[in-house]
Amino acid sequence: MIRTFLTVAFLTLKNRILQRIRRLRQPRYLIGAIAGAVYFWYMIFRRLAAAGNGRILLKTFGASPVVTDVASVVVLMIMTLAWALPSDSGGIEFSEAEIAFLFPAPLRRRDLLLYKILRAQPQALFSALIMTVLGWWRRGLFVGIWVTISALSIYFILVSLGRARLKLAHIGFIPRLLGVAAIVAGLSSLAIAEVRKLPPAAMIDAPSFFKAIGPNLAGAHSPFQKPLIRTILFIPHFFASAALPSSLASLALSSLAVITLAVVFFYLAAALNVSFEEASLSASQKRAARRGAGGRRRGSSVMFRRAPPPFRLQETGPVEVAIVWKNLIALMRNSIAWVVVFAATLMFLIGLALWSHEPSAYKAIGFGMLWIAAFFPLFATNIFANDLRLDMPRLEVLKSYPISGERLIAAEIAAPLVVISILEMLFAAAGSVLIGMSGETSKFAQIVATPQFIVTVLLLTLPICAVQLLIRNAVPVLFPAWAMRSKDEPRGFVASGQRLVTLAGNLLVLAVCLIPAAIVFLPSLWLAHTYFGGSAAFVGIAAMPAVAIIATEVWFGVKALGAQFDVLDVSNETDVLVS
Amino acid sequence: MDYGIEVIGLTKNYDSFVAVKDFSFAVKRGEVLGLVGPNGAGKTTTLRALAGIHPPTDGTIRICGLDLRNDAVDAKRHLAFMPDEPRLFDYLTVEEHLQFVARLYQVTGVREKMDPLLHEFELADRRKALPGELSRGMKQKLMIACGFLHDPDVIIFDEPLTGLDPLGIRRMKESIVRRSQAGASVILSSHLLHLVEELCDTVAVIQHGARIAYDTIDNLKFKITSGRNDLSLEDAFLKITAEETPPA
Repeated sequence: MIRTFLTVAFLTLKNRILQRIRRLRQPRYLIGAIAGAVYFWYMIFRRLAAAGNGRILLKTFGASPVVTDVASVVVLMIMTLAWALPSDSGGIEFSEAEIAFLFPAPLRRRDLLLYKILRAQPQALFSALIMTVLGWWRRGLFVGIWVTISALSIYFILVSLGRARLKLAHIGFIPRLLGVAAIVAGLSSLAIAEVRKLPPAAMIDAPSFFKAIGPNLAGAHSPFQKPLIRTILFIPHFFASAALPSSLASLALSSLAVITLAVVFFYLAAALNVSFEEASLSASQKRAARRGAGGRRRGSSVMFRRAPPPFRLQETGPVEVAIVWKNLIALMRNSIAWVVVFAATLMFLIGLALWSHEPSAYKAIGFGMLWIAAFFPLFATNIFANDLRLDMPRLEVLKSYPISGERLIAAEIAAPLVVISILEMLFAAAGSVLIGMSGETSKFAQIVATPQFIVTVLLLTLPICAVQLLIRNAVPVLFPAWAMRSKDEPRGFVASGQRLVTLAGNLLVLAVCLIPAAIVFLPSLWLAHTYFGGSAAFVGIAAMPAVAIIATEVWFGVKALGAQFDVLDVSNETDVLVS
Repeated sequence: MDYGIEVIGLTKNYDSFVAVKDFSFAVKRGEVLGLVGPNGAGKTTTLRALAGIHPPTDGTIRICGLDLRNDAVDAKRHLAFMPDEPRLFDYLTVEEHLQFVARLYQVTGVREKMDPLLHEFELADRRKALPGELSRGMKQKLMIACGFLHDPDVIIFDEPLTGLDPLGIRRMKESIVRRSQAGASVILSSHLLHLVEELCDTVAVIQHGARIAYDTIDNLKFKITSGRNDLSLEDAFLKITAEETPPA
């Protein structure tokens, strides 16, 4: 049976690799692959060079005992908190094909669990390889990380089935949560008691702390040597030592122990004999529905189904309004949490500044808000993706609607544009006002604390955010296959390369769009200063040519992207089968 | 002749693969055409091209006399496309889907049209439900209700009965007949040949992307079965596709 399962895992991996190689015949995948390969080669090369001509393995040993101790605590917390998760169905993630073929097959539940574990090994191996090569765990070693990842995944299967078994014993989520909370509280009390035993200087502030323990980390290691703590961390310590070995012997011993633990976890999970098939089937169906609805793209799932439409949609009028209406509903139901987060952050910062009554606080928080405002269009356009990116799975329906590509693109970006622009303006205006209140006398502060600055921001925000949204929406139109990746799509260096190319392209196009506006802004500023100097409107007048240029670019961009959308043949891009 | 759909020399290539080649047919107003063929024959590709979803490599498509390439928006106002897989917006309720489509197609009096449609497709008590709360069949019904809302002149169905319950199938068939009798041109692609035989006036058989038969159902059966009147469309279809399939 193991041989069959290994064969399936191997063939799946082989076919996936072959499929990705075949895709490289298309230039857009090839570009992504080349960019990804260059990136990974650079990372590996740099790591090898840093380690000294291939002596990477030797350099990875020697993790400090304190690092291992802290990692043990982290592992302990993860292993404990896993019991507090709400899910108690016992569902284990299987693909639809696996459910269709394996569940009706004459296999024991233990066999299914074994299949699941073996099937996960290529991904675990790849993750371990990436972690090792990229040096995310700089002192980690491939084998140890792989063993740790695999054993922990088996542990999580055990916990998942354990939660289901507890439910059968009428121990539901709340009692479990209380039990875990009690354990965590006990462990926290123990940790606090140990911290209090540290030298007083170490508890004053961070620099003193590091000064006290920095030269001799062994001092910080001592609390972990106490019998009670060693007992508590006995099992987690094996995982930490395997992933962060201090020596080859430590790696060998820890890995052996972790493998033994993994076998124990597996047999315990099998012994629980929980009926996980139905829950797994339900999880698989939900995953398939999610994939059909756009994978795990941010903002693609409904969070607040009761949120009402923003306005009543009239039966007739411009059809673009229907698209904006639809996307605003999507924003309210899928992404309103982000609006609340940003609004709450804004209110909190304003409240904090006003509560402090300190000019220095006004200044610090004001500049912080301006900093957020400066970068807001860059990251907010990724968060509020309630536009064409959200509609990609329904592209064939969109294309059958009686609306031209140009009008569709303009309407698609309108909803996120409104929300992003309002938030952007609020941050910029609040930052400007706070800096004005701080009494800061620097030249920069004097510029940003004026009403003219706020007017300029108001004028520039809309077109700049529109440019950024247009660039983001260009990706699904120009490279639909890149934008329609789902959770189950193969990843790797091609996907990483695609992301790199997309990011680089985004920044390049943004820079190219802003250069003409910046060139025009300087002479127009001089002219406005000359003829309207002293007038409250002079900065606004100075900004108008730049605003006009960016707006013109957006107009041309919408037209070009719309034309591209009209001729887009999505079946060429997304492996739609001919039927 | 007053045609809802005219297709002349439709060709669709995917790189070097020819999915549909030189396919021509026409559907009169009030006529129902069945598009049948084996798996991978090019049926869905043809229907997608007719709906303006993907541009044909070559050929002309006219919807109510409007060239789909040059007057795409106006042409699409006359048609409704029902894909085999319902593609709904997860975040819009049943009612909001209809409101959205009404605005897209500039449908006036939507309230008066919405209620009968929701009742016809047994969605009246689910008007506040999101697609995630609907069964596969209900999603299919909502997709069809959205398509019918603007009283299209041309209706394109790709496997319309998939996922429907017996009552839904009966109502769907009645609905197709009623709309064709009201003057709509209907294209229906299905593997259910008894359905095609029951509902369609003409049939086009496509295999390997090429049209291998195109006639009224009675004529086709007569020609293929050498005048035997005890054979069904299914028998005729199997015979004609077997003749066209090259020996292994």
